[in-house]
Formats: sequence, C-alpha cells, structure tokens
Amino acid sequence: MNKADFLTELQRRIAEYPSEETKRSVEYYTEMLDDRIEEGMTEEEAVASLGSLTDIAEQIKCEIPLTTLVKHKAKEKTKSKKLSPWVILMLILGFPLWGPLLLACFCVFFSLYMLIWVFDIVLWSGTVALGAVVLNGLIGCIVNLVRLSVPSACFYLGSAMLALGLCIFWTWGTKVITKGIVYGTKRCFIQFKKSL
Amino acid sequence: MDIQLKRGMLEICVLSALLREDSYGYKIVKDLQPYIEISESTLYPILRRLESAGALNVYSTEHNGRLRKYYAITEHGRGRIREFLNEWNGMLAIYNYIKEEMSENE
Repeated sequence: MNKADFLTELQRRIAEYPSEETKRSVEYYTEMLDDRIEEGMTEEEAVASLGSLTDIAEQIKCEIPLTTLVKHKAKEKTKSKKLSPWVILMLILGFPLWGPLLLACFCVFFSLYMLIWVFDIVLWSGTVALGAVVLNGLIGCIVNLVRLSVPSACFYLGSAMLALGLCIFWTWGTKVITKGIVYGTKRCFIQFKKSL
Repeated sequence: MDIQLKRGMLEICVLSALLREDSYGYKIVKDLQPYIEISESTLYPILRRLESAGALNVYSTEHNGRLRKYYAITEHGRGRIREFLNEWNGMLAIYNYIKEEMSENE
C-alpha cells in the first residue's frame, strides 16, 4: 500500500468523527510517513512500519474525548433539522405564489371559525330573548293585578314561569356549547404549537 | 508492564524528550525507542492528551517544502516531570520494601 492509499483509507475509516479530529489525524500520519520516506524508506515500507490501519483508527477513536463526540453528534442532529440554503431560496422566490394561497387558506379557516362563534351568539341571544319574555310576563302580571283582572294576571304569570323554565334550560345548553368551543380552540392551539 | 503505569510513564517520557529542544513526532519516537516501547500510533493520542492538558504547545514549521509539527514543553509540563520524580521516591521505597520482604520470606 502506498502513502496516498493509506491516507485515503485512514480518512475513510475515521470520517464519522468530528472533521477537526479527522484533519489532525491525517496530518499527523502524513508527517510520520514523510519523515520516514525522507530517511530513505520507500512509501510501502513507511506504510508497513506504521502498523495496522485498524489499530490506528481504533486508537484515534478511543482518544477523542467523549464530550467532543457527544457535541459532534448533537450538532449533526440540529444540522439535519435546519433548512438548506436551496430550500430557503425556493421559499423566497415562491412567496408570490404560496403567500396569497396561505392567506386565502387562513381566511377560509378564520371565517369558518367565526361561523361557530356566530352560532354561539345566536344561542345566547335566545337566552336574552327568553329572559325578556320572563320580564314581560312579570310586568304584564303586575299591571293586570293593578287593573284587578286576575285571569289575565294569571296568564301573564304562567307565561313568565314557562319562559323562565325554558330560559334556564336554554342557558344551560348554551353554556355547555360555549365551553366546548373554548376547549376545542385551546386544543387546536396546543396541537398547532406542538407541530411547530 | 501494567498498562496504566505504562501510560503514565509514556507521558513523562514524551515530555522528557522535549526538555533538550522542541521536537517532532518521528524524532520523539526514535529518541524514546531505546528506553520504552512506543510507536507513532501510541504517540499520537499521548501528544493530544498532553496538549489539551496544557503540558505542551504545538507549532508548525516548514521543512523541505512541507509543514512539520513541533512540540514544545510548557512550564506545566516541566511540573509534571518534577511531580513524577518526586512520586518515584515513594515508589522506590515501596519497591524496596516488597523486595526485602520477598527475599526474607522466600
């Protein structure tokens, strides 16, 4: 094996380690070979005198501090998550296309969401309306009592009672639905945040 | 020789090889070979360790149209040698004790 082959093979075997370590090791062994060749050895003899490549690669691996290795692995991980410059360029160039599309998408979702709240508002106005009927019934009852027409007063009181019952029932249902919407919104936000 | 002991001895040997003058990898190996078994592949990690411990400095100089790395011992490195020599007195006492006991009770 000549010098170039040896160095290529060594580089290949330790390529997975931090590039600084790889570079230093290859530099070191290049110097060792050059010094031997300078002394009169042939390339092959110099390579043979260094010992087995497996041992050399193993030695290099053993001596890299664990912290360096861990940092190196961690760096590799974060690197893979980053966008490549090419993708960033495409994103910028494509903005006139995907920008409006994204905006339209957002608008559609926003209006659908608003629709849900409009439905909720309608339900709450039902509560208000029923409350108004109760109030109306009570006033009617009092007015008729003052006029001394008892049957009419009874009718107003009855309708007020009926409206009150309905109002309580209606409000309970509406409350449950409003809570559901708020809960759903929260869940959506959490999911969205997680996916980022 | 015990591997831990040899490792420690090698570090001190390498530092001692730098006392006279700054030296480079191949020369260190050649200088030490008469005294202790050492190869380039064992020297490399030792140099790295000593460098990161601050016991030696590294610099590159041009030699025959290529770069050669020279190693220079630091004050910290000299301190390591002194430490070793001091420890050795204690080691020697232990050695003598063991030897005496062995010869008396063999």
